[in-house]
Amino acid sequence: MDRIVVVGSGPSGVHFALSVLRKGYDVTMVDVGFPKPAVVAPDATFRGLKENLDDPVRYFLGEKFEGVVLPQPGREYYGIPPSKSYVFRTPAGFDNVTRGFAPLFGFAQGGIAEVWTGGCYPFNADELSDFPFSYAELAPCYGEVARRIGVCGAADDLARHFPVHDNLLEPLELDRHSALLLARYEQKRAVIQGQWKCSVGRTRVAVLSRDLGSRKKCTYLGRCLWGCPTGAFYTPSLTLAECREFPNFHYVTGVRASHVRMDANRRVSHVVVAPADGGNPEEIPAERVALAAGALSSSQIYLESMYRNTGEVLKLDGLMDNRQILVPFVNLSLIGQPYHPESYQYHQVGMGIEQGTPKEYVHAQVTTLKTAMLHPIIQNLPCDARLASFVVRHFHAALGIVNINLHDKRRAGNSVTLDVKTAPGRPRLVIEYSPAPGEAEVIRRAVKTVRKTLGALGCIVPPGMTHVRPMGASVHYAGMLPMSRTEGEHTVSETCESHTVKNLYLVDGATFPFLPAKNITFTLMANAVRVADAAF
Amino acid sequence: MSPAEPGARGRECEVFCCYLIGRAPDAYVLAKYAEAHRLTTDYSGGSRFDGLLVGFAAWGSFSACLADSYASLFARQGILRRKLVLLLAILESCSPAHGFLDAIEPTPVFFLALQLLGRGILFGIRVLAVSLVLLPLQLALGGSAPRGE
Repeated sequence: MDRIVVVGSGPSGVHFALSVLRKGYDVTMVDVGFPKPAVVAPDATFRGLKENLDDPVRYFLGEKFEGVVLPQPGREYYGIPPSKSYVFRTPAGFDNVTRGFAPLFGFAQGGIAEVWTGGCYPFNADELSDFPFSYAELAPCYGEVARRIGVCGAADDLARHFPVHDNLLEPLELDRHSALLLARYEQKRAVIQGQWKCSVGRTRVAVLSRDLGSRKKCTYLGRCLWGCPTGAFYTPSLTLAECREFPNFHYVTGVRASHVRMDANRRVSHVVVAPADGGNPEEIPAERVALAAGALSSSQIYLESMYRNTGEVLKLDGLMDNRQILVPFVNLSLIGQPYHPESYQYHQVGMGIEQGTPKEYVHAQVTTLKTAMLHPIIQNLPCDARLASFVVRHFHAALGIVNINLHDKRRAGNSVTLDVKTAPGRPRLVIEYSPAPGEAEVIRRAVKTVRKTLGALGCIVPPGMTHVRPMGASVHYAGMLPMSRTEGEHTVSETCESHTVKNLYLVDGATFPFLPAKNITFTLMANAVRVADAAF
Repeated sequence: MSPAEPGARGRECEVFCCYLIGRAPDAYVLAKYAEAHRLTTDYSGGSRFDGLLVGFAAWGSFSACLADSYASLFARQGILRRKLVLLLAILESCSPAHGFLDAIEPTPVFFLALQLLGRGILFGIRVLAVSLVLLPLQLALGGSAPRGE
């Protein structure tokens, strides 16, 4: 069997690798692969950490107090916890140029999805209409991924927007705030659905509501934001660990792939890697290569491969990302009530807002804030810290935030290319993005619908606190090397094999021809399984 | 401004802690507050006005309250606010201090609204009063410098 080299250990890479390993292929995975730090006090609750750790400030704020969110204009209401900062560490010499886009890159074992919030939303038939396969072909792969990772949810009003697949686990226990929102929705459904075309229901999340193999179900320690200590919450590093148990799997860590070398027939022959902390490159022979380094990094490897092998500097159009808008709210019935941190911390409730066409659907996730740090909120209030603490203390149980996602289409001008002049030895990725015309109006309408829905659910949205996140913040990058039914330069086939370079497969979001308003991670994993099944 | 000596830093931490949560810091909080000042430059430097405001705030809880009321509107990124945010972050991260944010008795909304109204009015009065002195001083001394300026 061919020797396959997989580049990257994110969600696409590990599920592709697991599928081909089970078929008996010899797989080498090359990865920068910064490791996750050891889990601290795995049985402790969120409050238990504060009460029992020898140095809790070091855990919550970091060794150099980097977790303190200081007053700065435009800062978000929360930062990355120090326990997860390893995900955003970059290799030596890593650099890029951006215009209109603020990308996030992850080089950890498991990729940037090590810090995802677990949303698992299958694309429906309408959203797959630009893909060269149907929902029926992808549905078994959603079921297979759900069986591997554990996805819980309910077949409720939101199922019209994300189909119910096989192996869906029963939903988690609701926290008090989320339960109140859903109970109120039951009373107001006719108005919310009828007048505002909005549905409310349970989100689908990659967390165990019952034991799965050696993984134990969620025990509601309240530490989700800080990194699940028990493995009940799924991250790709769990599947990477599963891959590493195969004797035909070779994990080469500490290296960064720059490009592939091709033979005279434009067939892949080697992957070129260099030590992540600097050093001389080396070549790894490969019969087939699967790029799964994340849409931006895979595109960069593709661009550099074309540059190194042909001298051509390409520009790839079609970069997409979900615009996200954060809408903080206050649930009036929980003001002055104590809060309960021992619960699941990410979103449990979602909203789906119908638009003119099904593909323009707007998706929103509702997170009821409980164990996030409070000093970033306190310092944002326009009053002294003692009064602000008093306010936050009594509003803590009532606080929540809606994260609205908008869809995106491939458009010319939203592109990636290489800057080969500044540092010819290590070309930089140049990323350009401009929002779609009319985006402001779409945002205005979506926020208005969310505000009205929240009003019907007994909540208010404080004025002036809605925050439009910069493009790049959602980390749902896609679209530069799209799947296409017809052969074309710099596109890929139905099985994600490059039409330009033989035996080069792109198995991450770079190949998506459309980006619905949903977290794409579940579909990345399902598509990687589909490619492994169809082409290997 | 040169970094204050450890004794002054401890006194500053004690005053700010009493202002924020109504009780003195324990040895752990004092140590972490001092450690943050040692490890980063986020909490030192700044303009002459920053130095004056921190010095005024460190006199006692009442002056800290006055200085913070002013800074919360007119010097939001200044050194005093940074120090207070740092201390808040430390306090909410460890026991027993985190209880000041975590533990509340259920309060009827009506009484809460009354308390908020009262505290809001007092805040307004404080800002008005202290602005008469501090605003001209800030203008004269060149304002509050964010980090790195």
